[in-house]
Amino acid sequence: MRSAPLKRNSLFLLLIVASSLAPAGFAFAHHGWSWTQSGYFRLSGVVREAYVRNPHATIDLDVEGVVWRVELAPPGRTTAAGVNEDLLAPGTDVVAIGNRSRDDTETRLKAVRIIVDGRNYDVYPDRAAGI
Amino acid sequence: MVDDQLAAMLRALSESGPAQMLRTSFVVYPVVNALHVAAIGGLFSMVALLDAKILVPGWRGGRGLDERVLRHIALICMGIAVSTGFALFSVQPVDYAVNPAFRTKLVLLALALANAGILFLTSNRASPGRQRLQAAVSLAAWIGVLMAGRFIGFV
Repeated sequence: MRSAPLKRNSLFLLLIVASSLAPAGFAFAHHGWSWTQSGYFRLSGVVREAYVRNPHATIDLDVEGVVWRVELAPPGRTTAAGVNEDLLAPGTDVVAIGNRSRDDTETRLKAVRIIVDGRNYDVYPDRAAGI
Repeated sequence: MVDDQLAAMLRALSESGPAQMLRTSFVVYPVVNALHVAAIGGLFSMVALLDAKILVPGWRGGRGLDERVLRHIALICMGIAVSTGFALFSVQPVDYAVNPAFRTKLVLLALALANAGILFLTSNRASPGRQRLQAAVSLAAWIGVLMAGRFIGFV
């Protein structure tokens, strides 16, 4: 097999590339609710940064010095609920109600409702009825 | 994670006009996303047929399939998949760059492409055994690319 060394070299190169790509401790968006606890959880904090765009809408909420990642509905749905980045300017007081991660060490909440300035914004209206 | 120079490039990409448009359009983004999925579907179909022609010698229907046509369609689909993939990547490049599923996808993609290149370039002199091995590697690698791609949003 004349080309065997070529193949071996390619595989070797790929292994080097693969080994340099050590997994990072980065958590992306969560789809569905299976990763959340069943009871509602309430967070009260200050917006550090809000992202209401594709592919996932999120708020980084400063809750007494701890930053929580609040996941909203898909951006189109979130916007339809009246939530946008202007509403969530940094420094805005926000209450987020939803389901937190099953992993208690993870400061992550999937929001059903957020409250800004005393007004409810239900990003998952069908679920918000249960609050 | 990612070095400073790469991070600066990724930030510049995310601030480009098309990236900003993709972030805020709830129509264009899903359309690009759908094209990406369609192109991958086409590409995977062609790859699976090409591999099946090698792996299933007694498969009568396979003989009628022109490999050049299958490869041609595969390349077109690859072009669409890569360009739409790059567009989707541009929306949150810094986040994707450190996403383990995305990194795994790129590694498997490189493996699949290298394997396909070698298989194509040595097709007239490689032993049937090695061709079958490479066809099997091809199927496994491309399925891996699909799986890793799907996991990007879940890890």
